[in-house]
Amino acid sequence: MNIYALFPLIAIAAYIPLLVITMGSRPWRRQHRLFTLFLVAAVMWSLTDFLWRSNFWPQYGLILGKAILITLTWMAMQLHCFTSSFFPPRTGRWLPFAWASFAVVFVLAVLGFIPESVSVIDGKLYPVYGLWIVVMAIPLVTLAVRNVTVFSKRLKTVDNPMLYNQIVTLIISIYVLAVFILAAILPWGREIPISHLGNILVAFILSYSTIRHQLIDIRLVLRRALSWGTLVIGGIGIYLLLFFLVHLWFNFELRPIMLGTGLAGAAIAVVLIFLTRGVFQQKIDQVFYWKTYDYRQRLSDFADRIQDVFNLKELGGEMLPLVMRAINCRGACLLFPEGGSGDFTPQFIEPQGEANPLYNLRLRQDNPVVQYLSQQRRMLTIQNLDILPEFRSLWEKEKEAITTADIELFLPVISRDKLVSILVLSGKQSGRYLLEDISLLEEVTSRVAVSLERGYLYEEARQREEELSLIGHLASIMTSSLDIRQIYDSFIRELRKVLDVDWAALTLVEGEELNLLAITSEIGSAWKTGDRLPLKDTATEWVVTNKVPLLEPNLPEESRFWTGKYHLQQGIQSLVFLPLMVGSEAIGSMCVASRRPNAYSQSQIQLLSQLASRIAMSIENARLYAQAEQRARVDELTGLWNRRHLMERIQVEIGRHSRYGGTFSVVILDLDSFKAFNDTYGHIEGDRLLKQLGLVLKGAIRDADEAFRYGGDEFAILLPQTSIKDAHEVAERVRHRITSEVKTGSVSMTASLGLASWPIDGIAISEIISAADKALYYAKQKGGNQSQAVLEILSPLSEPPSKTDLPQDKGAFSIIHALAAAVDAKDHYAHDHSQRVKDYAVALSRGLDLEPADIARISICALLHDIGKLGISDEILNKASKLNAEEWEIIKYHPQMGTDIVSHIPQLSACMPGILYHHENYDGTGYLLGLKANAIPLDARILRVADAFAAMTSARPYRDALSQEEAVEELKTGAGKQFDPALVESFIALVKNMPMVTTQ
Amino acid sequence: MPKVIELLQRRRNEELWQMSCGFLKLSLEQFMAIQKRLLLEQMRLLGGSELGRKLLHGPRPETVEEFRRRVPLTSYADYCPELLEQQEETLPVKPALWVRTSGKSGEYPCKWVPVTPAYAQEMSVIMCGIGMLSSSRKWGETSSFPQHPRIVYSVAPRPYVSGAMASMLGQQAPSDYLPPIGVAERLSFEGRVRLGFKQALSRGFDYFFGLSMVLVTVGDKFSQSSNRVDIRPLLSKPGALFRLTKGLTRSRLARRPMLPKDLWSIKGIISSGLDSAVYRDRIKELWGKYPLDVYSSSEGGFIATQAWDSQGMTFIPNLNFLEFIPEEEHFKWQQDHSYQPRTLLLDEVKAGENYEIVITNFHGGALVRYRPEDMVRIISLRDEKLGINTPQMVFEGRASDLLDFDVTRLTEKTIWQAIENSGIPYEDWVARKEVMEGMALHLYIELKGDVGNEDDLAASVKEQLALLDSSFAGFYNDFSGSIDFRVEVTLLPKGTFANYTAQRQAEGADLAHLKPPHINPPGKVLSLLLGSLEAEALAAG
Repeated sequence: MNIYALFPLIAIAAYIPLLVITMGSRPWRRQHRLFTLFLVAAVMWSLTDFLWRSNFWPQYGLILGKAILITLTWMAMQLHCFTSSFFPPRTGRWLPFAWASFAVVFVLAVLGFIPESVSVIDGKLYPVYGLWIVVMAIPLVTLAVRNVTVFSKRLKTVDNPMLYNQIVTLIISIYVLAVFILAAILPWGREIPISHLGNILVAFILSYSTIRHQLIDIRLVLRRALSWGTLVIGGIGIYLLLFFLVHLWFNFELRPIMLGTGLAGAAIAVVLIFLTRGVFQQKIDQVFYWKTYDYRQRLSDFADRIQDVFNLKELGGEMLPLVMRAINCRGACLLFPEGGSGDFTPQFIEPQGEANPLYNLRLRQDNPVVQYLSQQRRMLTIQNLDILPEFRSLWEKEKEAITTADIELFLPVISRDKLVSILVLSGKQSGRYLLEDISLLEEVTSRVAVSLERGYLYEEARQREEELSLIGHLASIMTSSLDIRQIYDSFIRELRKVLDVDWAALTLVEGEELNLLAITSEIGSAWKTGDRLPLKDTATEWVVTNKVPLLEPNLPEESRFWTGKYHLQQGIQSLVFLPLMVGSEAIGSMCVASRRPNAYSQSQIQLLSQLASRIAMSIENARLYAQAEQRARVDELTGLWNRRHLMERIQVEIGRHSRYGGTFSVVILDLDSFKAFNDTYGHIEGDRLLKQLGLVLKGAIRDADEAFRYGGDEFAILLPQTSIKDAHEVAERVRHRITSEVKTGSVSMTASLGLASWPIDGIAISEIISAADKALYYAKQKGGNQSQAVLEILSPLSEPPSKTDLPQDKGAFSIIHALAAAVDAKDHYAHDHSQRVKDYAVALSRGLDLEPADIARISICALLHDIGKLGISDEILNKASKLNAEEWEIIKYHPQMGTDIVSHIPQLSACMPGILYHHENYDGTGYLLGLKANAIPLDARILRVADAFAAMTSARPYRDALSQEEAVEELKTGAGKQFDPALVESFIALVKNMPMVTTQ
Repeated sequence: MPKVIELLQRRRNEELWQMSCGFLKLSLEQFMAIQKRLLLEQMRLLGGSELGRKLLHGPRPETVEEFRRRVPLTSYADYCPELLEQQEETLPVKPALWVRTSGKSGEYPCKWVPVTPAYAQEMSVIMCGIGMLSSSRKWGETSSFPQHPRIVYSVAPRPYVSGAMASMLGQQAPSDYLPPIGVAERLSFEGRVRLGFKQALSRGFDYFFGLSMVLVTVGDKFSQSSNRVDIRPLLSKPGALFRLTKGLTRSRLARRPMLPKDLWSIKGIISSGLDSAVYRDRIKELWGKYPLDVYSSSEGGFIATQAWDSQGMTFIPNLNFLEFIPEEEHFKWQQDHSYQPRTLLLDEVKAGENYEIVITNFHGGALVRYRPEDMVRIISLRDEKLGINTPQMVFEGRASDLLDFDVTRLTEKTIWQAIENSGIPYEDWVARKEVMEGMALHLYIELKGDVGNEDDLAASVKEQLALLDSSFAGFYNDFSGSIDFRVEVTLLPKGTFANYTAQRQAEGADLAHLKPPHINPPGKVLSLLLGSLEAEALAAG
């Protein structure tokens, strides 16, 4: 056996795994079939050459020589058929020319033109090719040149990196085969099978390309089998080659011991190579990847160790810079689905900062890019967006955003068959993305997918926890009161800690209108709480109809509703409207607004939705409570307010009128013949009558008045800010309408009405009601069907009043004391003032030896001297700071006002001078009329001293109480000026024997 | 976006087809996804414009369902005065150009429609796709698609949409127009056609884009004059002479008159309108190729196109949102114009049904739920043969051009096809539904020669109608004795339609109004046509 026979044998060994794997892989596509045919031809060529060189059948040397040339040409043709299948469309493949050339070679070989003959030297066969070999060489060279030319052109236009690498492989294969085959024609090629050396190389190149660049699409597992098979066969081949070289150079004989030693040495070499392959690979990679090698390595290490990292920030923050530097691209970002919308937004971005155009990238959930990555689960290039029809649905703005961000690649990060993230890469700093880059990225994304998903879920859970905590906190605020307006401010204040809120409102839909239930603003507002707006074409109408939140992200850019311009005027740029859902019904909206555009993310909107549902619940609770409360205040039969509410309302009115002054009246009404009616027509008709009466009452009173069912057939009317005189008019109207409108058949129906007025007829609720009751009783006594006021009762009880006709009965005195208490109650700093003035005045009167009737009169005067203050608002009365001129004028009017009040009570008319002039000074400098000396009634002069002393010995907001001595000194100073000097003298004499009372 | 010519030059054939004709490969779900998504974009654009807000009648809808529920259907009157006065500031997007339609006589001087830059870009790509489809026999084939096509320019010039389309093609691939666009636009329609074919005789041409009738007319003229060709003027034009010689030789070998297909190997014929369906066999006979029918309009650009088999048309997803008014809804609306007809989407239509189409322009266009008044028929829900998975349609005619009898409903296309199939050589025709002593389809035809009488023609047309319309045919077969209308024919004197055209030209009418409408011509038009008849009667009498 010729030792050179090892060359074709190794080539066969190199091709066989590739052939087996290729044939075993289904389905066979066109390129697949062509490749298989080429492999068969290549094996056949090497086989015939092996037979030739092994000298097995020397007698058939010439036939074998012809077979070698025929199989060589066949292999070249098959290689051409295979490589030309990679030609671009519409490029001629020259197949007829190739097969015609093969036919010519075949004929020439059969006819004996090539090779011309075979010579035998030293037992070895040598072909004599002759000149005809040129006929064989020319078409082979032509086809090789043509293929290389076509491929070189294609390389300039091809964008697909995989195809690029495949074509490069084919060019190298063609070069290698052409060079080595041509070299075989040279004289020394006759001895050494140099062409088969080329064949071996091509076998390895094609195997590598199949494994690495998917030259032929065989499955991964087969590619791995091929890779190991090639390594093993290649190793054996190299081993045999070494033996051959040793034999050649040192003329060693092939003995079993040497073979064994050699095998052992080879085994050691294999182990050493296996152990050191990493270092070797590293060095090779360092040369190839140069500057980016380190980052690639770190990226790979990162992918190995991230299994233990849970923190998404750590994962993304570390991965992205590594990816960017390893690939040498201009920018990168990792997008994650946003809570709520599912839109993909950047969580990590490199280079960091808002200047990076990737910063504003947002891929909507329905974006075809997201759909493609989710469904196809493979990389997407920017070129695909322009080409594939499914991307026709991209919006112009989206295209613009992608172009602006200089994006080249989208890589899906898939975990458990779900798109968890998208790695977006800009263009490279130089050159274009190579297959190695894409392989690295795909490998990294597949390895980090699970960790990223885990980190993302962890982060989501943490955010959810925070949100729940916030919701819990805000919910506690919402349940703290039933008054929504009251809690809304606190609610928004808390919300501001996590959200950008410059303006917020709660709006309820009421018919065709919006009721602005509550507004909280940091920046002013176009509307105020309680305003009503038309519902039509508002965002609230939209959310109430569609029952989903609505985001207006950039108002200056797009304002969809007429209210938008008002928001813009306040500087608001983004708004969220959330429906207030109660069950399946939307009752209004909650609106949150910011001066910043795009201030709200979908996850925030989701959070707000939950809060809105809580608020809606609170509003509903408040509404239900209000309804229940109202039901508790309404009389079911007549629809009027009930007695309980009357008491509450009178209490409210007393408070209000005490604060702001004025008077109100109460009317109590009783049907005159109701019992008779009931007896005649029965209780059912009686109820009907009461119901009818309720309607008549409602119609007869004014808008501000309120009607009540007091009990049985008694009714009441509350008339705010109404004097007894005006109340009388209303009462008469009511009475007439009852007479004329209430249909009662044979029983005529009339009503008696009793009127009372606050504060004249009573201060406390019970006093007012009692007074009105008395008046009613009086009206009944007088024959019914009439209205009577308290004053009208009192007048006929006595003759026209005289100076001494003061109230004598206990009830009247209690009224006077109550009035005095009401006056003192208004002035926070004059507690018991009227009582004290009375005490001093009475003491002084007694000291002056006045008649008891005068003392009684002065006593009442003293109690009521400030009654006019009931008509002065609390604000002025209790003002801590200095009064202005206008306010002072109001104060100065109180003696007149007091006199007016007292004038309605004939029994008190004797007190009028004392009350009217109690602020006149002895020297004429006081008010109201500026009377002097004895022109001032004695009662008033006594009151002047008593009032001043009581005031001086009481604390005021602007000073402490004076001591008795200090007050006496002040009286002395004022004697002859403010005070009557004689009275001052008497009073000082008295004071010395009086126990001192000062108030603080 | 890469240009068509770049992909063609780089031989990226699959990508070229995907980009230009990828809509043929879409599933119905993908088609609808594109439609709905682009509508969302359009709603946003509309919401930001004055005209949009007016048409949307309130705040911008957020969903497709809300859009269809809330926004009423529109006619051109809803866009006046904004479009009529070309008020660009009111539009969603500033247009790249304005195109005009003929409009309806008396209503508007014309209808102006804006075309946005993005819309024009998408249209240009589809235009190339249509060119590729017209010259291919299967998906991916580009062998017959020249890098520099020569196109006979026989369409209405800019600002008509057909003229605009011709110029849009230039965005994607440089083309040679015969005559060049600049020259063509200065010529009359006849002048353009004459010069175009004259130049084509010397230089050859690849594509024809225009009215099929022009091809039939030109083809007929060639065949009629092939025996008396005067070659002397061509002596100085070797190209034309060679072509003519080749044509004559071919026709002699085939022992028939010379036909255009003997002179030119035309790659693609693209036509739009009813005539291509009517004349398709004749064109194939004369020019050796079926025309590729496209459903296009000024308002909606390209709405649907045939594929390479020249059968049903496939809808284009990315230019307009498409809705379909079922025929019965259309008739309800006809009876009561205040009625808002219900619409269907493409995934809801049924095969064999007629629908009035409703369009909403994408890419910032102005028309919203607009009714171009076109009736289409869905012939199948997919094309099994070509593997197209979206519904296939044919154009039936103007929605207002339906002749509705008690049982049967005739379209312009059906009547035209029946006349054509009856083999009567005619110049032109008009038809009216008349109710006198029962219902009648009254045809007014001008014949080319003295053949047949009115009764024979009526019988022949009726017979052809029965063959063409399946519903009618069923009825005809079962109840031929009691058919719900009769066919009447009135023969018009020679030159009637030529006189009409001349008269309209003299009145300054534009191209679209030179010929009378085929169906239900207004009384004024009919009296103009019948005026010739009365004049003849007077002359005879």
